[in-house]
Amino acid sequence: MTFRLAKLYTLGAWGAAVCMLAICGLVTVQVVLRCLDGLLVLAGAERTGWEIGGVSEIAAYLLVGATFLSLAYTFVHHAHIRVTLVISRLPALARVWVESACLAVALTLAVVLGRGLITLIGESLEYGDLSSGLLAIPLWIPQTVLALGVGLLCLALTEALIATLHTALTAPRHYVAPEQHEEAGGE
Amino acid sequence: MLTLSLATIAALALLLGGGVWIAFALLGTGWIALSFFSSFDPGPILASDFWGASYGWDLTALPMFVWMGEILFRSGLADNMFRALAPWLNRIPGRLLHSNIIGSGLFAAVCGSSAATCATVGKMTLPELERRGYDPDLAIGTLASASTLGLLIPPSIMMIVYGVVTEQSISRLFIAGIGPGLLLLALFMTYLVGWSLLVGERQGRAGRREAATSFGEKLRGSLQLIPLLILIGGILGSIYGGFASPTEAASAGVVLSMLIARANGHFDRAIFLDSLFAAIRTACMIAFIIAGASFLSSAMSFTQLPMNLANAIATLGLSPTALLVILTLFLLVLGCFLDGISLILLVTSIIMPLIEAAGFDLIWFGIYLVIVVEMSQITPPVGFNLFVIQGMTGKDILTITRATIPFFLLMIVAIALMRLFPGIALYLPQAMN
Amino acid sequence: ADQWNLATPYGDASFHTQNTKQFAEDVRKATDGELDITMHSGGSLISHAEIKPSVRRGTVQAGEIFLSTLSNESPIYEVDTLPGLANSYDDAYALWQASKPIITKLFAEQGLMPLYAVPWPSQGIYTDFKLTDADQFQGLRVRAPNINTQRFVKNLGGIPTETEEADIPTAFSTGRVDAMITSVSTGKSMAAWDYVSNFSDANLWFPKNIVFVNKRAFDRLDDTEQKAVLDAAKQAERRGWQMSRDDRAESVKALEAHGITISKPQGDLKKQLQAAGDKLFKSWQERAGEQAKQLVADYRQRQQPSE
Ligand code: NA
Ligand code: NA
Repeated sequence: MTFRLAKLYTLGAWGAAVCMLAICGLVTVQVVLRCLDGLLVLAGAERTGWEIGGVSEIAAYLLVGATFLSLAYTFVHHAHIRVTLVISRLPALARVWVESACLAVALTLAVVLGRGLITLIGESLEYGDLSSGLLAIPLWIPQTVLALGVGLLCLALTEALIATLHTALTAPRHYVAPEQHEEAGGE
Repeated sequence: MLTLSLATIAALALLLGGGVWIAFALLGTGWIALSFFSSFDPGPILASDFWGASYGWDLTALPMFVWMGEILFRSGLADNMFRALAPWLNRIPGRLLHSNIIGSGLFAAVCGSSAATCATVGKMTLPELERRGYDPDLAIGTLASASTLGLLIPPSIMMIVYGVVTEQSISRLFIAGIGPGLLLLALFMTYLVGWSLLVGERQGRAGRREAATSFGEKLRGSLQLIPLLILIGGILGSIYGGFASPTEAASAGVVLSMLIARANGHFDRAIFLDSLFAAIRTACMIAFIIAGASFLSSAMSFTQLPMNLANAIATLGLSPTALLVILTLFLLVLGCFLDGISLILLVTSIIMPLIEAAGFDLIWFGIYLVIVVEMSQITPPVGFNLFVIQGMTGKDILTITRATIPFFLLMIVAIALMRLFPGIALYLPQAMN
Repeated sequence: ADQWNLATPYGDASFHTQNTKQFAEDVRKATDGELDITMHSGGSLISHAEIKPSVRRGTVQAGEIFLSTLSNESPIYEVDTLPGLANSYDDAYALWQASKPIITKLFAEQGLMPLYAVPWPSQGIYTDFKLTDADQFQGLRVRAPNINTQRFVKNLGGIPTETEEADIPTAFSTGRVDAMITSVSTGKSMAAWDYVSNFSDANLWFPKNIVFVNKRAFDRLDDTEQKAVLDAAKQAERRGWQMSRDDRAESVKALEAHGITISKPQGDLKKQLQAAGDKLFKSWQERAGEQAKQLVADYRQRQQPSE
C-alpha cells in the first residue's frame, strides 16, 4: 500500500539519521582527541586532557532520536518484525480481518503510549526535571522527541488501518498481505 | 500465581501468533498483566518504563555496531574475507560455516552485546554462506548461538550488571568469561565438524569443495584479509590501548569501517546513505522491542510473579547440585519471556542469599548466569538474536529457533562441564591474585 | 492493610539496602502487618533516574536515591559533595541536620517527604602510587562523576575525566583513568585492589542516600501507621549512620587485606586539598544564594566546637 504521509515518515528517519551522525561524530572526535593526546605524551609533551564535556550524557539522549524518530519509517518499510507463520497461511478473506485486528491492537497501544508520554512531558515541565549529569538537559526535550516518534507511528498505523479496513469492506478477496506484496517486488 | 502465569503465556501466545508486531505484543501482554493482576494503573508505568528504556549511554553501542555491519556488508570486505578463508578451511569439515563461530568469537572481544554481535557478523556471513550453498539452518544456528558469546567474552554488559549489583570484581568476571567462552567456541566447532562428516557432506549441504590451491596462492589470497584485520585490530587497539571505552569503540568502528571501505573502493554517497538508513531501520526495530520487553519485565515485577516463583524455589531446601538444576530450568523458562538484565536482577535480588549459603563461588555463579542469559537470547518468544536474524533473513522466529536447538543443548553441556570442572571459569581469575 | 513498594538502585550487598530492609521490617512489625513495605533492590523494579518521578507520581510509594544526583535541580543538593565542608561523621550529621529543613521544603514542592538520610563513608583518593604532594595531580586523569568533583580536580591541577561507573575497571586497566575519588565502601565493593594500590583517606565529603515517600500515600495512612513509619525512619537513620561507620572500618580492613596502602594526607598536600575545596565552596556560595548562607550558618552553629 502507499502511505500518503510517507514523506513525513521519511523526514522522521532523516531526524534519526542526524542523531546517529551526531552520536558517531561526537564520540569519534572524543576518541581522536584522546589519540592525539597520547601522541603528544609520546612526543614528550604534557598531557592536555582534551575532552568534550558531557559526550556520554548527550549521546545517551540523542539515542532517543536515533532509534525512535524512525518508528513510522521502519513500519512502512515492514522492518518491524512479527510472527507470520500462522497468519500467512490464512486465505485473503480471513487475513484482511486479522490484519485489521493487529493494526487496531497496535494503534490502541501506540495511542495509549503516546498519551502516557504526553503526561510524562507535562510532569517534566511542571517540576523542571533535568538530567543528572554535567549538562543538566531539560528532560522534556528528549521526551518530546520520543513522543514525536510515537506520534508518527500512530499516524502510519492509522493510515494502514483505514486502508486495510477499506479493502476488508470493499474487496476482501483481493487483499494482498504486506509480506506477500513484498515478495511480488513492490514496497 | 498459576492463573497469572497461564494468562500471561496465553496473552503473549495469542498476540504473537495472531501476527501482532513483536514490540506491540510485549507491550500488550504487560498491559494485560498489570490491568488484571495488579492494582497498578498501567498507563504511567508504561510511559515511564518506555522512556527509561529509550535512552542510555551504553545502549548507543548497539545502533553503531549495526551501522558498522551495514557498511561492511556493502564494502565487499565480506566477499574478500570468504575468498581468502575458503582455501584454508577447504579441508576442515564444515568449511566456511566456521566463519560464523570464529567471526562471532572475534567480534565478541570487541562488543559487549549479543544482538549487536549477531547483527554485525550475520550481515557479513549469512548472504555469502547462502550464495555458496551452505545449509541455511546451520548457517543461522551457528550465527544465532555463537553471537551470544558477545555476553561471555569480555567486554560484556551482563557481567557489568551482575558485578555492580553483587559487588563482584568486574575485571575478574571479565577474565573468568574467557575460559568458558573458548569452551563454547570449541563445542560449537566440534559439533559443526561432526555434523558435516555425518550429515552435511553426504547431502551436499556443507559447501562445495574448492579446487586445491598451492600454499603460495593461499597466502596471496590471504592478503585480502588485511583490511578486516586492520578493522578488528583498530577497534581492539582503541579499547586496550586506552583510547576508547568499549561503548566509544562502536562509533570509532563505524568511522574506521568507512575509511576501510573507501580504501577498498566500495564507498560512496549512495552506499553511505543506504547503510545509514538500513541501520536506522534495524536499530529502531530492536530498540522498540527492547523497550517493549523492558515494560513486560517491569509489569511482571509489579505483579510479583517472578519473585514468588523464585521464593518458592528458595523454600525447597535443595542440595547445591539440585538447586543448580532447578534454578537452570526455572531461568530457562523465565528467560523465554524476560530480557537478560531483568533475569540477572531477579536472581541477584532474590536467590543470591541461597547461592551464597550453598557455597557457590560468586564469580563462577556470575559466569553461569551469563551463559543462562545467553541461552535466553535464543529462546522464543523473547529472544533478541532470533529477532535480529528474522529482521535480516525474513525467516520466522520458530524456524530460527529450531536451527539453534543443537547449540542450545551444547550450552547446557558447557554448564555441566563448568560444574564438574569449576577451573574452566575460575583458573584465570585465581591466577590474577 | 496497605501494601507499599519501595525501590532502591543499590544491591542487597550494600549496607544501605540492608538498613532499608530493616526499616521495612520494623514498620511491618510495628503495624502488625497492616503496612507491608516490599523492597525492590538493585534497580530491579525502577532504574535510578526514574525512582523519584515514580514516587512523585505515586506508582511506588517510597524510594531511595543518591541525594546529589539532584544537584542540577538546586545547589542545595550539592551541599554534601563540597570537599572540606564536613570532615567527620559528626560534622556530616550536623550538616544533614542543617540542610534537612530546606531539603524537606524542596521535596514537599514535589509532593514528596524525606524519611531519613544515611551517608556513605567519606570520599578519598585512589591512585596507583603514593600520593604525597598536590603537584602529583598535574596531568593526572581523575574520574569525576559530577560537576563539583570536576571543579575540585581542576582546582588541584588534574584532568577531570568522565567515566561511567561500569566502565571503571576497564578504564583503569587500559590507562584511560589514573585516579578516582570515592569511598572505602565503594572501593571494596568494586575490588579496587585489582587496579589501584593506594588510598589517600582525605575525608573530603560524606555523600548521602535519602529515603523518601509520596506525601499523599503517607497522608492516607492512619495515625498509628504514620507513627510507625516515622519511628522506624528515626531508628533507621540512627542505625544507618552507625552502619556507615562500621562499614567504613570493615572496608578499610578489606582494602588493607588486599594490599592497598591507606594513608592520611599530611602537611602541604592536606593544605592544598583544603584550599581546592575552599575555592569550590566559595563559588558554590555565590551560586546558591541566601538560602545557602543560612544553611551554612546553621551548620556552623551545630558543628562540634572541638575541631
Ligand atoms: Na563481548
Ligand atoms: Na528468550
